[in-house]
Amino acid sequence: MTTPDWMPPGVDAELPSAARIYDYLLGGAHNFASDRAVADRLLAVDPGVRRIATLNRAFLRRAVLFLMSQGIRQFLDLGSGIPTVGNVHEIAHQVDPSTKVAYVDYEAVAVAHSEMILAGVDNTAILMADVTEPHLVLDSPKIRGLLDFDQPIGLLALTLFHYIPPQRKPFQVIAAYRDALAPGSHLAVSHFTDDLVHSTGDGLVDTMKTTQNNVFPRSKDEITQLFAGFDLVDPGLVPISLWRPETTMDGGDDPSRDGQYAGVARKK
Amino acid sequence: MSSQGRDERVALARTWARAIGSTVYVPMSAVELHEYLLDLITTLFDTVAAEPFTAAPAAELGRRLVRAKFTGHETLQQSIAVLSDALLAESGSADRVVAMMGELAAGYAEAIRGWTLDQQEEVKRALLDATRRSEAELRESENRFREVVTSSALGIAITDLEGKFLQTNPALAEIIGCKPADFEQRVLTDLFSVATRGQVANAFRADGPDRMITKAELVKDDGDEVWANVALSLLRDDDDAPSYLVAMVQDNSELELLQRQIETLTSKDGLTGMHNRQFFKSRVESVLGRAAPGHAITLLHIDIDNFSVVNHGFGYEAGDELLVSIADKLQRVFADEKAEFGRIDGDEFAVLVENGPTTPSTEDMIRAVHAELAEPVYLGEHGIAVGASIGAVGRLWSTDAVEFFGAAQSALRKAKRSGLRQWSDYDKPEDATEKADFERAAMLAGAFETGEVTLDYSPVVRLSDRKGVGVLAGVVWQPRDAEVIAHDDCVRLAELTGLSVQVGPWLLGEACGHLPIWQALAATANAKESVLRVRLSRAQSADGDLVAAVNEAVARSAVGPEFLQIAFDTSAVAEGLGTAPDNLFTVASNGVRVALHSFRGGPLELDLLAGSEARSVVLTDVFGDVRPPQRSADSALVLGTVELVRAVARIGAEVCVDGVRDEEEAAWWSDHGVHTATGLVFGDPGDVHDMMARFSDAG
Ligand SMILES: C[S@@+](CC[C@H](N)C(=O)[O-])C[C@H]1O[C@@H](n2cnc3c(N)ncnc32)[C@H](O)[C@@H]1O
Repeated sequence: MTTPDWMPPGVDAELPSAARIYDYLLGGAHNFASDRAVADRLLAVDPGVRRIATLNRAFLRRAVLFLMSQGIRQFLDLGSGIPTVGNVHEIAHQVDPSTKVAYVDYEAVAVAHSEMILAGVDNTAILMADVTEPHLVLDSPKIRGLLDFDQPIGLLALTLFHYIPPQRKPFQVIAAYRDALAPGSHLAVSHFTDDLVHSTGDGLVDTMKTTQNNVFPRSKDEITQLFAGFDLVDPGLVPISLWRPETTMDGGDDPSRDGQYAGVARKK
Repeated sequence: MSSQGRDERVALARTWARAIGSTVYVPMSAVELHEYLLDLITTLFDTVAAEPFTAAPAAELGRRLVRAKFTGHETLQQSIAVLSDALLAESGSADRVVAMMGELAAGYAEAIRGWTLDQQEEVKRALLDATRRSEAELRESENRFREVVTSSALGIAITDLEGKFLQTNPALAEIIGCKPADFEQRVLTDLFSVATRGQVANAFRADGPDRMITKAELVKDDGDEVWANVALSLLRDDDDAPSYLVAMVQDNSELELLQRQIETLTSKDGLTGMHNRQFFKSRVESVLGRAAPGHAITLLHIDIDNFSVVNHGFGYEAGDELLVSIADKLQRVFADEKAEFGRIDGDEFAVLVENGPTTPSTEDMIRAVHAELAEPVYLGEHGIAVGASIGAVGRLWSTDAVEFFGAAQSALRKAKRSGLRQWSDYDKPEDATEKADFERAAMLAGAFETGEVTLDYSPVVRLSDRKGVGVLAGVVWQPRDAEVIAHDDCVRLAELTGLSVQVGPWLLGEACGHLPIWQALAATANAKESVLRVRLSRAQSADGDLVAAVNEAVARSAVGPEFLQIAFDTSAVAEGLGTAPDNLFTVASNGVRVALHSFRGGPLELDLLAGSEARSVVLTDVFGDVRPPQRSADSALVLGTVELVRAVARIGAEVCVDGVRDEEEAAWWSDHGVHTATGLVFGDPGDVHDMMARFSDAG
């Protein structure tokens, strides 16, 4: 019996999860042997994946700080994963502890873990929901109780949409969130693409098939469509290391191996 | 500290930062990281240069690396490589550097062990929490579900795909009147009557709808049968393959009983749910009263032909079942209309239609009713079709309901007199043969559906040279478990039930499909005769839909209409039964050759022939068992026959003789100017292949 692509994974430590693989690649220990095995296989296919993970997390940090600089004080982090190092609330609260951060993920372990981490942290919430059912998220009392949708919100969808298969209608999903946001809200996206890997993308995709999360890489044009109804801020949709790097260190080596495109945009 | 030294440290911090960054995600900005590392480097340089020397502070540095989350796989290794080179250059003492790096590694290892254990502990706890929660949710939802199922008044069962019960609730056992354990021996369809089982079985089909609601008849353990609403859902697994069936059964027998009592007392016919006579009349009255003066209203009075056949042949219960299905059918025909329905007598129905813009013509309505009723209804395994006589009236100038009703009734009487689709004279079957006939007649419709009725051809032979020039098409019925019933008997039975007007078009349509074959074969015999002949019964000859059926069949055959000959029943045309005379005229003007069969002669019939388009007559069984060749040439019979053939020839028509039994008879007819003949002497009847074989044998 195969699990359909869109099925929320439920609880299964045996089945490797994207969230825990990602944690391992970032140097965390919130993972199981099965996750590490897949991560090692990914590294064998493309040693650059650790860098891809790191670059993503660094982009998360820069994006959150950029949004804070734009006056955003509320975040909705879709597909937030397990709270590994440098979570959104940690970054934001350093600047302004009154910033509200709502996390959403559909993986039970990630959610349980987030609850542990967030217990006693003010201005945060974690919701277990499938982000491809936007109304479940947008109408949730947890989310509505924390975020004020009349004020701008920073919507984060990092390394998320490439887990969403075409039949779950990713573009309609993002449109539903967009429509719920006040003008001045921002959307930050990072998305896996075949354009920016040197190993064959298939190798990574096939490896991820053994996990709870299949991967659907998309082209630059397709990813740009996620921003419909938003205006991309400079420098637009670019290889992730080139998005407003702080120092050359963020850029590191070769952007053509970045794995992901990233961009931030403002709702009209 | 020299400025030279400071530059070196800044450079070292940059190198180290890059080394760390390649091994782990660092949750701080480049500047922050740089400052952090510079601080560590200062301590290291102080330590390596300190007198007296102790390596111990390096251990704390190792711990600080972990605290800052520089915990990557190779972070330590990379750090040591970068640092030892720099420290060696600074101090020149390899011993010191080795000692310090040992301390640093030890501190790091100790810290990271604790950190890893913490994180592992954390994630395990998260896993446990999540598992516990999802199990609790599952349990809770199962409990809720069980509670609903157990306390439900609906009977609920979950079965596998074979219908074996996996779970049932108390209500189901109660409805059926059995013990819960009794379900082990049964499958789902066992709970339903044989007649309605099929509906339930349908729900198991993978290609069917996943959810259906139907009415089916439950068979209780005490033998009672009750109608129940049944909802059936097919559950599929993740691969979309069916895995379970959930059935919910609502026993509404008691409710229904009560409803029926109330209805019979008031307005409804208990059996069919239609208005009863009294109420229907009052409905007519009020509809007439409220409709605008110019508004068209149609009243149909429908009398089921010889309904008693069913009651006699199959019993009253079957009769009731048939009435219910007739009521359903009527309601279906008028589903799109604003209509009211009444069962106004045992086998009489009435429909009142308030015409709308899309309401069909009265004629089309009647045709639709006939067509729907002709679809057989299955009582057990017998398919029964009924005919009906229908009287129809449009709204009269007056708004008097009694008058309106009366007009519909007299239209009905007229329809009955025309003999269409009804079986007069057979109201009281008295002996066993008749009863058997009725039973078979009622089953004939089903036989058409199941393919038991097929075409049956007989060769038509030109007597002058005995060449086959065409075929006569008929039907033959091979019932599953009884003897073959030949064409004439089939037609007689079909006439009994009014089915024969359906048989005619069927026969025409099927046979015309073969017309090109007959045309090709006849061409070899150089025949000018029509190659395919069909004889119509009385009712078929008089049927108002005949012309359309003929046109359709001819169009299908894709050859000219002149290759087809249709013989009308002489008496039907002579009497003006139904639309028989019009039919003959119209069919002939469309180019089909027409003939009169069962022609008996006599002044009136000869006159009819002379005035009609028929250019051929068929003498059928003219003499019964008597054969002209065996009579003396001057007997009245022979003289009369010879005279008849001559009279027909004088009018310009040909004679065809049916039922020729032997060569002697054939020769006699030939000598007396008869043109073509059919009969056993020319070969047994058979299907299209038999005929083709025969024609090619004959050359
Ligand atoms: C690799 S993690 C990304 C974590 C974080 N967004 C980041 O960029 O650092 C992807 C997460 O998305 C979650 N995810 C994937 N599809 C999801 C869906 N349809 N609904 C909710 N979460 C989803 C996975 O469970 C996983 O935790």
